[in-house]
Amino acid sequence: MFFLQILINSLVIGTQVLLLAAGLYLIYSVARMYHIALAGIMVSGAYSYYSLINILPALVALLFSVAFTIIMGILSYLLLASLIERKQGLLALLVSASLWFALKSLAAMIYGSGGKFLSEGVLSTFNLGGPAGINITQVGFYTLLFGSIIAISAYFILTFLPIGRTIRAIAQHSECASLVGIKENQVRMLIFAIAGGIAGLIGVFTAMNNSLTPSLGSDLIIMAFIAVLIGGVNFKGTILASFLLVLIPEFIISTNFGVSSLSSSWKMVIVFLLTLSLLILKPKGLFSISLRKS
Amino acid sequence: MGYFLTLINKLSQTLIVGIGIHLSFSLGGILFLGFPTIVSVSAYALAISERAGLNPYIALLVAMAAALVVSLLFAYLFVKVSAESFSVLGLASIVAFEALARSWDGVTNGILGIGGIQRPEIFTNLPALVIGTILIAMLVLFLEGVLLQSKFGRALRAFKENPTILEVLGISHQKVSTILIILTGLIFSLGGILIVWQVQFLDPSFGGLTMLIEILTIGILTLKPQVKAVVIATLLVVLLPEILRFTSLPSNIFGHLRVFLYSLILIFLIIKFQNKLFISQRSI
Repeated sequence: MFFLQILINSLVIGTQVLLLAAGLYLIYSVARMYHIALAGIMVSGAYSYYSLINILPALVALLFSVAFTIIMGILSYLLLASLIERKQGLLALLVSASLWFALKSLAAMIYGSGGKFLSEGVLSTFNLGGPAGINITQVGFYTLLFGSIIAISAYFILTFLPIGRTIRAIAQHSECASLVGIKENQVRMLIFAIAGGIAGLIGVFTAMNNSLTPSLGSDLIIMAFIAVLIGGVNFKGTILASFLLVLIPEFIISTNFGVSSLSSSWKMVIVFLLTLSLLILKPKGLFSISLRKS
Repeated sequence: MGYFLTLINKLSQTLIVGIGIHLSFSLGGILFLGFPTIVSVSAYALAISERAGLNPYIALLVAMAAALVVSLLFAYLFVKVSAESFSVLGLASIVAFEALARSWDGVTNGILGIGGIQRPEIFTNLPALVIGTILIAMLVLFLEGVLLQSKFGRALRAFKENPTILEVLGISHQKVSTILIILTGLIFSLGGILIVWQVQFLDPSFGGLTMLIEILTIGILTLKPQVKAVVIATLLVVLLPEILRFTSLPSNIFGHLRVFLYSLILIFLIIKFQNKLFISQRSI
């Protein structure tokens, strides 16, 4: 039962990581840059929800927040477009990182560095049964639900639908894709918008489960990036790596392997050490695929 | 008087760390975002060694050795993964080290930090420390100037421009990148140690985001392989936000405003001067 609770908790956090990682992966596929400003967009979405929740119903506030982050995704693409077109991935990464820091510090200036709470009182939970009582919070349940829908839809779209083939074409060879009439800029803008919307949604859910601070999402975006990296920059690898990166540290922290207790603050240390070990063994990632040479 | 001494000290410390980013990013083209980790590691190694009873000079050697080890790890990672992945892993290392410093209470004293860090006897008071830091900064600046005129300096600029042609000429680009990362790691470490000697206190937030943004701005501003470019960029980056101190802004937003302004400056500089930031390949 104890391990089942760890598994449930890991699935919830893993889903958050996966959704961010999926956004990062899709953007990397079409733009060849790591858009870590998604963490800043996540924070913006959470704070916009915090601002709206007192004047609008929860669902409407959520929709507005997601719409806001979709717009932010599009604006961030417009900012980065010239660098992406010139294939300056490193400079684009630097601009994306600066955008993240700017959004984070702006949030700190407006709302303060202290934690805010999006819900009052104790979070409602669903009891999944068992004598020990395995629980999942309502927010965790919705994270899993929305996460599964988005992940399955993304896989289906990428694999079977024409837009998915378009995205894969741009990912594999953008010059050939534009030669056959694919409008790269429009597809990229769409991807940035979707990734921004998902980041906003995850930001709200994460803030509901924890407290809302300007540093929200710092750990998640790093884990999401690591999931893409060790997953070998492909979708299936990213999905698996997202859950492994959460499950393994949770398992280590919860069981301690008989050594003196580790607090959950060790999580990022374990994730980083795990990443280093995996990269030393397999620098291209666990599930890397080689592309056809044209 | 104390304010001006502290400001001059900050200029010298920032100059030293700025030289590191000038070498690694402006000249070498390596976006080394993990440098705050090296600064933090060497600062904690210094503090922990002194806490364990070592004298400040031995603690200094331990700190530099710790920086060397971490730099070697980064150098290895740079060879193994892509440039963008290396950069984000550098960011990840900042988050990971801060988590380690917060969590490992027995060694780092957790969020309470380590206080009472001793300086060497020659730097007992602030004026002596300021003079010492200025002299060290001048020495590092001089050494950078010598390096830029040397064979390695030319190899470094070639490394940024076209690593393939560098290989064709018989110079291993992996060797150049390894030496560069180790060298800059030691420079960053020196800067971190001088900062800790001034404030004599260390906590997990040391060497984080503010330092990253500030030093990156210097890296972006110093595009030319000239020593004076680093000095001018450091003066601009350190002195400009000091103007905010004399405004009526509340002190609790001052730090965030600095990060916000540096971030916007970085975005503007990169978008506006993207052509000059990476030298396009000359046609032969």
